[in-house]
Amino acid sequence: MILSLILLPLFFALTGLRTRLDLLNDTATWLWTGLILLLATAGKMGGAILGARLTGQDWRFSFALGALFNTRGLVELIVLNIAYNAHVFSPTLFTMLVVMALVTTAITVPILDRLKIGTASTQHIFEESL
Amino acid sequence: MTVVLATGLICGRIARSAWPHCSRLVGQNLSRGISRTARPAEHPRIDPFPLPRWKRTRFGAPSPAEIYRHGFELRQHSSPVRHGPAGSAGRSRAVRFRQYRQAPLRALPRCLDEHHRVSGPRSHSRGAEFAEGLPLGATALLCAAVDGVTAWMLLAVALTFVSPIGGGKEYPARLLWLGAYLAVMLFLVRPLGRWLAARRSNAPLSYELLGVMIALAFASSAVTDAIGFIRSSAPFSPACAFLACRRGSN
Repeated sequence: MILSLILLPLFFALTGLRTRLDLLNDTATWLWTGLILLLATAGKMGGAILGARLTGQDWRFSFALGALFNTRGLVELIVLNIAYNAHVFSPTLFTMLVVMALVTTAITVPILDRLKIGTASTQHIFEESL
Repeated sequence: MTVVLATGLICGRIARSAWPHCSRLVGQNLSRGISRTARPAEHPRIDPFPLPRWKRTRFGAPSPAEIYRHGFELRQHSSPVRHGPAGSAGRSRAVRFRQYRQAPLRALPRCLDEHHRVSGPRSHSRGAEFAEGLPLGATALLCAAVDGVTAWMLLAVALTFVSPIGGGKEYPARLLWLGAYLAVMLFLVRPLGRWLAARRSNAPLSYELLGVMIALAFASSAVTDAIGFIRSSAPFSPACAFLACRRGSN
């Protein structure tokens, strides 16, 4: 726990320093970023929604699960960094994928809010237990 | 997508059979608490039941056992009288905010305790949201865990194909080195860490011990890198060292 407190911020800082947003400077790269974003969302969210539907959940639950599943975390960044180190990714592709990770993680809460999960309907459960 | 689909199917079944009557959202608590748990700063003014001084580490980050114990104490202290009637809607925003600020040390115990807490009849009648379904947060966490493991294995396979890691040793030699590394970590470093942790069980974490732990983590990373077996094991080695050092401290 202590070590991750110290070393984990360094890892994130390193990832941030490697992310060169100035490389995304024309329309084509932004379109590619959008395509990556779409594919990533379809892959994770779609898979989760399909799985939840096939196990008999309703649409709201499935979308909520998909939204939660759509977040990218540490593993994603580690994989990106390894691929970057192995010279599999160009800096541009690395930046695109980091942008994708950030966007997919950031839209989780708006989606959950839209589905009204964890807001008013369940607030009392949370408060009561305190 | 196929992987996620399979994961979702399997974990959905597991979650449903494991928590058949759960109606609360585990992830809801976790999302509020986890960022604060990882935060080294203390909140002495906000926390009404702070840990005794000798239980804290110098960096203010409690061990999981302390978090659990603390959360347990908190739960016993917090009666409905203290926080107003249960489920009252007219609670002021300030009070709610303060409660969120207190949330950090409760996230873990509440996740662990989720199953027992929801089995009461009261929660059943109230949690109409997912009363018949399975807990959303638990499912998500479970799927994410399995997904993470799958991702690591896929990564290992991909790295085997993609990067020959130039200048590294030959494959059997690497395997031998890996075995030696694992043996050293498991049979030398881990007992050492356990002995260290037992020796200074209740004392605050000293800078010397912190230095030793960090040096160990870096040395371990350097060794795995020199072996060149999997570069991806570099993130794991701090975890190994951490496990070794933290082991037995409870």
